[in-house]
Amino acid sequence: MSVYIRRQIAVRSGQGSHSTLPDLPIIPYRFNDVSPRNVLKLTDGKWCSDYCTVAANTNYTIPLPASYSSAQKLAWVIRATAICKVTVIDPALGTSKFLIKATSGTTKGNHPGILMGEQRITSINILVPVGFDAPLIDFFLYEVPDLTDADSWRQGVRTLGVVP
Amino acid sequence: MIYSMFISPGLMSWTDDVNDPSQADFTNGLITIDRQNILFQRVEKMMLDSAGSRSITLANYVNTEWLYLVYRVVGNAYLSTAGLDTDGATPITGKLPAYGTSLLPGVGIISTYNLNTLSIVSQADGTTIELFAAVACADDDARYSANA
Repeated sequence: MSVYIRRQIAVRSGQGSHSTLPDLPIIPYRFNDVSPRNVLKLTDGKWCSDYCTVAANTNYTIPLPASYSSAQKLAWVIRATAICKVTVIDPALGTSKFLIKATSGTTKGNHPGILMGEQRITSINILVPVGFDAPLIDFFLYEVPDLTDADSWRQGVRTLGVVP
Repeated sequence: MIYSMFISPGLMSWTDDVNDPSQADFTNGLITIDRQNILFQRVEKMMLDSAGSRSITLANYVNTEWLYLVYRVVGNAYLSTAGLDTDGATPITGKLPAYGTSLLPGVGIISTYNLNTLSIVSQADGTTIELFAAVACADDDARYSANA
């Protein structure tokens, strides 16, 4: 079984069944394929998505796709509803730390913060510092297949979803 | 076209009622959305050979501002960042890579604060990078209301 997916759909589907968050941003759509033939084929175990709430003073390690190997590049998107710190370990580039800035509420507006990249990944960890609001985190990860291999694409098909 | 191409995604990232990606096509998105939450912005396009880099600067930017940056890569490059942790004192650094081809360009996005410096570093010859960088703000930012 394979999943055929376009990147913008991949990002949007990171929302999963969670309905209280705004729809995921569509940024990748404009930056990537606008042609229906550019549909990536992702196999089972090469992608994953989920969401969770991370309490203050708590670490959360984002699970990587079950069959992912850190020898390959992983496309990853994390969205948060409040400030948090993300630590990414890349076997080639080393350890990186980023803060995600976001706001929520009627005064400041609901503006989720996003962090997205494509790289080799050893681990991704989220920390919410003491005294900060607990953000709702949702994420979508997939291993970038060999883009030069025709078998990595499903061409000429608009329908997205699970295909036997 | 690059201008609208980048502005529209910047806009749409802030909205919370996106039903279909096609709704955000180009400048129509600008017209129909009245709160963009962007105070200042910069759009750049560059081609860098391996190890080549370009520092990204923004008008009116200080490290307490909310930085929002999107970049698109055909080739291999990363965004190098240096700033401070949530305590406002501990230095932190990061490398946020993006990789892709013309068929499926790589995309990097960061929404952050406490950032002191940022630059794009290429990891492959002939890498093309396009980026949209903005100083963003919350709805209650007085500067935003003043300029509305």
